[in-house]
Amino acid sequence: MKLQSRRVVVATVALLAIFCAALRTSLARSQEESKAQPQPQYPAQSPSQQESDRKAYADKVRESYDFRFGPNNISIPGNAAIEGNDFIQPGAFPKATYCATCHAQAYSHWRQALHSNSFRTPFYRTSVNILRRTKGIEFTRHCESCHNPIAVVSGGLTQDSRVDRGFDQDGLTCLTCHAVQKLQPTVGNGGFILGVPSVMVDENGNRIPGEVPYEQIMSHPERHSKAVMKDFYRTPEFCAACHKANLPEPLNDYKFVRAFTVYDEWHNSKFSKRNPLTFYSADFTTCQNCHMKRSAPTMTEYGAKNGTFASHRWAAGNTAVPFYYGFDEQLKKTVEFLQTGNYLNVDLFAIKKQGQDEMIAPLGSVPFTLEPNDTIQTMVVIQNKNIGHSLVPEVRDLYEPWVEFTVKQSDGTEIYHSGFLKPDGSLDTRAHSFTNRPVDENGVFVDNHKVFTIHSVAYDNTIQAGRSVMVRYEFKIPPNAKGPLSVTARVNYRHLRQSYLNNIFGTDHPAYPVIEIASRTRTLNLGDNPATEPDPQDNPDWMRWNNYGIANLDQLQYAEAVDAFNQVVALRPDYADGFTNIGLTEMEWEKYGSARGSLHVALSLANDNARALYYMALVERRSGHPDAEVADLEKVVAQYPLSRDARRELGKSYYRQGKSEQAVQQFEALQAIDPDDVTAHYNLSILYARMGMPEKAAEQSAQFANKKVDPGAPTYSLDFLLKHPEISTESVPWHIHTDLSPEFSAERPQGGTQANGKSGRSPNGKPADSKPAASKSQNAKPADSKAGEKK
Amino acid sequence: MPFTSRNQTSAICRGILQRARFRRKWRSHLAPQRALQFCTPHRSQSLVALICTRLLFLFAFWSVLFGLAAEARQTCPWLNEATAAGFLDGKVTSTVSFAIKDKTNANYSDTEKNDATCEFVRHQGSLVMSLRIEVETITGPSDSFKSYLARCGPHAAALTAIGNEAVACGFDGKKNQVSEQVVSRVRGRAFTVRITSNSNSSDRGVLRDKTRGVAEQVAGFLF
Repeated sequence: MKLQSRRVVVATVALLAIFCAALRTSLARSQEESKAQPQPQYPAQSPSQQESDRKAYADKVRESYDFRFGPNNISIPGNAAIEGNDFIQPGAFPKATYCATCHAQAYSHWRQALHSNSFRTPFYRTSVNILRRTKGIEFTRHCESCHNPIAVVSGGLTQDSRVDRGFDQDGLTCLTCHAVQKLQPTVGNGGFILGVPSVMVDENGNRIPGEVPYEQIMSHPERHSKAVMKDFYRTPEFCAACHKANLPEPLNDYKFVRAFTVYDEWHNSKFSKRNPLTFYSADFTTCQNCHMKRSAPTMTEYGAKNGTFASHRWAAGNTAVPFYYGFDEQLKKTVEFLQTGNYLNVDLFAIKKQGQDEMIAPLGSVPFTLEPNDTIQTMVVIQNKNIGHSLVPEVRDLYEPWVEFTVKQSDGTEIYHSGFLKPDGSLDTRAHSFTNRPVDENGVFVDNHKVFTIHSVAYDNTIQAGRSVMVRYEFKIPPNAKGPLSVTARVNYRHLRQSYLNNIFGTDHPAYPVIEIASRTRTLNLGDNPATEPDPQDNPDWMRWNNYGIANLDQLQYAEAVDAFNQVVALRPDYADGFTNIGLTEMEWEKYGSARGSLHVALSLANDNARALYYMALVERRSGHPDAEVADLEKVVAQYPLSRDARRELGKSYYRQGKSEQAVQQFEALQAIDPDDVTAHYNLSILYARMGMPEKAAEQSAQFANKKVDPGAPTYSLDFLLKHPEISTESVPWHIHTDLSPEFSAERPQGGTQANGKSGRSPNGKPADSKPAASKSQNAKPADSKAGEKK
Repeated sequence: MPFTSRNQTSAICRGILQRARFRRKWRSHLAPQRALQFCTPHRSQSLVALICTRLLFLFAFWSVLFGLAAEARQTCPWLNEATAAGFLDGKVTSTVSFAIKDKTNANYSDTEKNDATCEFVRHQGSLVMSLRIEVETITGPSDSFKSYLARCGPHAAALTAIGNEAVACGFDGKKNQVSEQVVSRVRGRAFTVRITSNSNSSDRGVLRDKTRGVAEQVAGFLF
């Protein structure tokens, strides 16, 4: 008995001991976990100590991290990467407030800028929360690779993460950009490689992790500079790491879908000096030149050079974030940026009276008369004059630029108004907007920016850099109209469209700012209208015609485009690009003979002009002159080695000639410029296979299959357009905006889009009310004859 | 008094087993088996043995209960412990209480089923800091939210950039307690964030910033 009692007592004590031990272990584990959690301060430490701490932290995170997209890959479906390819303590990133001591100006800019608010804003959170709730937090690594890279590299984007998310409020903090050590190929989605954040290097150039005491930095500012600045930070490729995006298959379970590509748009613009095919030319200008303009600092700023400092506001188009946060200075700078007046040119270019073939153009330069009861078609040409990318370059499903057009009588009453805001804040559904409509596999508009469901884009309207669009408005002057009439066209911009704001806040939110980016008003007298002096903002007449021609070319109105370009060369006979424009239009029109003549004139005016040579090469190809074709393209590539078009076409030319190695060289060069070019993937897949490189061929083949447009995608778009005639009308390049009754529209000569949303295009794709063919050909022929004369 | 009968022991064991079965059928799944191991006729008949046996059983029972409870421990939907620890400057313990226990109840929306109150507490010596987050679905944002705003009283300060709308206030409690609170709304969900410290020497400004920081985290999650 006694023995048994003792046994029980011993057992009890033993169990208590075990319990205590277990409790202690549990506490120790908790403490360990606590240690693994980032600390608010991260003092400078030796690289080896940092490495050891990082390993301990990473080992801990790895235990519970969901590597659902592949072992050891911490960021897929995004591309953010970090040296060592392992998790890092979020505390390894010095706080922005640490930097602020010596960079108060940069800090004050950044705190109100989009970069510091890249994660926390309701506009972003609403969208990414949907992804998190729908598919899981692991999928948000795609978005956060750019919006919150510290969350990615610290391993915070996994279920039941134990990472302290205190860094969320700082979004892209100083040491996310200033710790980038290398860039990946320009595929975007976070195409950078971070180093262990460091604000200083030692005397041997080794990076010192952590927050180094200020005195050390002050005693060796050059070592600080070496740690936090790289030459490539000043290049557009640096911005491309995030300002280019796609929706990869791991995200959407579908295929590669292009999201946006600001970098490529810049690359194709006149500002890159890398594309010979732009309509106009300009000095080399980077993203930073526009969005990080230098000015004299007003606060402590040790980063200032020669009395100026690069703005860290990154002023652009986002008015919603400063409006929500009450960042008045940022909002003011953003509005100023949008309204500098250099970016867009709005031109009330021409009018045309119903029943008359003649177009009255350019308005202001030619006299005309107007009478009550006249039905007037107004041609508004909007030129993307000085934006280095399209309007707007990103997220066109949420950002809302549009054209507002009004005709008012002298007493202020409206005769016509397009592009108004409805009482509920939404935009007139028939407005001409520079927006898009992504749709899902059911042909339903992808509201709320659920990008992972996008299968097609039913409608996508913009103005590419350097190009122009024309918007036609039709209205009738009332019989008792009170003149003069005031006609105004303006481009407005709202960040964001009303329905998305409603999705975020519900309907009870304040009205978000609508900014007028550019506008032009003309006064039309009832009776005589003599020629008037141009406004200072107006383009010269030759450029007005040129822009009108470009707009017609993009709307596939070749005859009108050639007419317009002929007006250009009549006003500026020395303007080689005017003749190239005629040649280009004729090529598009499949009039290769005429095109050759025009291009010859261009080349005689500007010897070895790369743009003319490029198009001439395509004419030579069409004419069966491969050697001339290659010779022209080689000259273009020699002048513009980073021209993707020239590389692509030269690659094709070599391919046709059986010169596989040269072709591969061109396509590889093209791929270095744009890793997503499907022509390069396609041709390289064949060429590598022929050259006995099956693995490389298979890789290229797979890339091509993934990136090429889904041939079934248009079906989704058609489903949407069928249900939305107002957008269907907008999706047709040539259309008219009018609120005249359908009966009236039916009375008009055939053609033009009617108020009920029907397109008035004839079967050959041209509006049926265009000028008589004889008239057109008369206008077109002089181009040929002139070309012949010049030859 | 020593036990003289095996039957008495058996009776005690039966009692233990029954209580264990009735108290938490689902939780005490292992307990009866363990109890059976100890409650056999061959065990000690002494009082010490009985006490020890009962202690052992209770110990085993609560260990199992504690283990299962820990296994099923729920985390705060809007803020993890690490982030709360960051705001409270030290390790915290947390509790979460969901308003709707039955997640399968079709009478409630998904958002209502996620309504909860989270409490994080940090102890450091005599200092106790707590962070309380309360989220509730409201029917009509503009009407019902007024009652939430009343939690801050007439001297509440309006805040920008937290949720749809937000107000902040601070108040003193008993025993040197100081609190800072934010009451806010994201669409149709109201929430309250309150940080309390038992030291009136706590910097109110710091507490206020922390409360705002947490409120912004919660709002961000609710958007």
